[in-house]
Amino acid sequence: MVKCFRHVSGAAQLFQSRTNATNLCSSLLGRHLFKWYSLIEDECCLLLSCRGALPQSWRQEDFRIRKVIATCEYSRVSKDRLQLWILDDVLQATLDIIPTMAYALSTISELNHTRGVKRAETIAHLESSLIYILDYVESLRNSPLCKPLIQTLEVGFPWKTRHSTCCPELPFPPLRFTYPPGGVVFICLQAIQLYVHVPHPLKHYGLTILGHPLPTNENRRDPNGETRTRM
Amino acid sequence: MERLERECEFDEYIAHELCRGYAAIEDLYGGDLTYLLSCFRPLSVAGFALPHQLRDWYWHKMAHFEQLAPTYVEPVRKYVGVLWGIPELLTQGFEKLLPKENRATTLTPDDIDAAATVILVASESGTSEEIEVGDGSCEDYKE
Repeated sequence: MVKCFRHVSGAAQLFQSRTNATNLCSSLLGRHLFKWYSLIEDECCLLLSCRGALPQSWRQEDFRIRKVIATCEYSRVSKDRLQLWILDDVLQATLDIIPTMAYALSTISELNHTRGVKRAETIAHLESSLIYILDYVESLRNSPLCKPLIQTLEVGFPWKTRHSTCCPELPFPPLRFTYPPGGVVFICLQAIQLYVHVPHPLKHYGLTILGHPLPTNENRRDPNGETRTRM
Repeated sequence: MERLERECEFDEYIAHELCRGYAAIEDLYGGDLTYLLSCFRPLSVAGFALPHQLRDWYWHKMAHFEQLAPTYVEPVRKYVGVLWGIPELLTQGFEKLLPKENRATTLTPDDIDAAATVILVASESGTSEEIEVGDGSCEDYKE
């Protein structure tokens, strides 16, 4: 994994020396390339508890350009193609929060090595980061583009799955997605929410984030100094 | 204490819903393994707070992924091994072991440190590699 991150760092240096976020994300090919890079960087950062190799402004620029293109192009494509396009944009917007998660994770590791006021400041910063992530997930989940993608239908028991012979029976009531490809967004949002709620080490320091009030501002301030706009 | 209990229940609820979502995807795209692979990372997060009654089901899903992409599953074996108190999972994997009764522990800062110090144990082919991770900055990994 560390070797993989060396390659990611190399790719990040190439990106920064040869192009910039606006140029890269202005073409379809560039956006796909950046998406591919982001997936690998996210994987490395979460597993190694380290920070990303590219500044977060690159993700924000990708997000901004996608929004601009969506405004012009969404109305020009067929319904089937539109749904796939929206899915791609929403999924990318979902994954855009991962660098902030990786930043928080790497900060948790630092708690072991800090004391006194410095530790209190780190905990306060962590708390605001985690709340920011939860807000981001919640606002995305409730956005008009995302809602239809993650809509589910309850399906009654009994239910026979494709894995009935090799796996235990479903231990929960089965469900279906009204737009099946959107299921991946649903589980990504759940996973991010869970990932933020689970850092029990923070509970050792008396930090709880459940039930925090959701801010109503259109623009939210990333505790790492970046600003994002809702989808 | 009451709030902590409520949070644990809430975590389990999210994990429960995540698994339900994955089961729906698996049922529709069960034949398309590449699609399922894209769901692997989100599903692996469910292992952090899985209700006891879902663990057997989850274990079998991880065993399937282990057949498909063992390298991907290795970090999950580490986390689940620590959280569920099954250290032998790291070396033996989901396929060889049977799910055991809940021995879940609470994640501590040391666990996260330990997870960041990635140790790839010797594989069956006999290769081994040990890696130390520094202060979390990407500078540590530059050539």
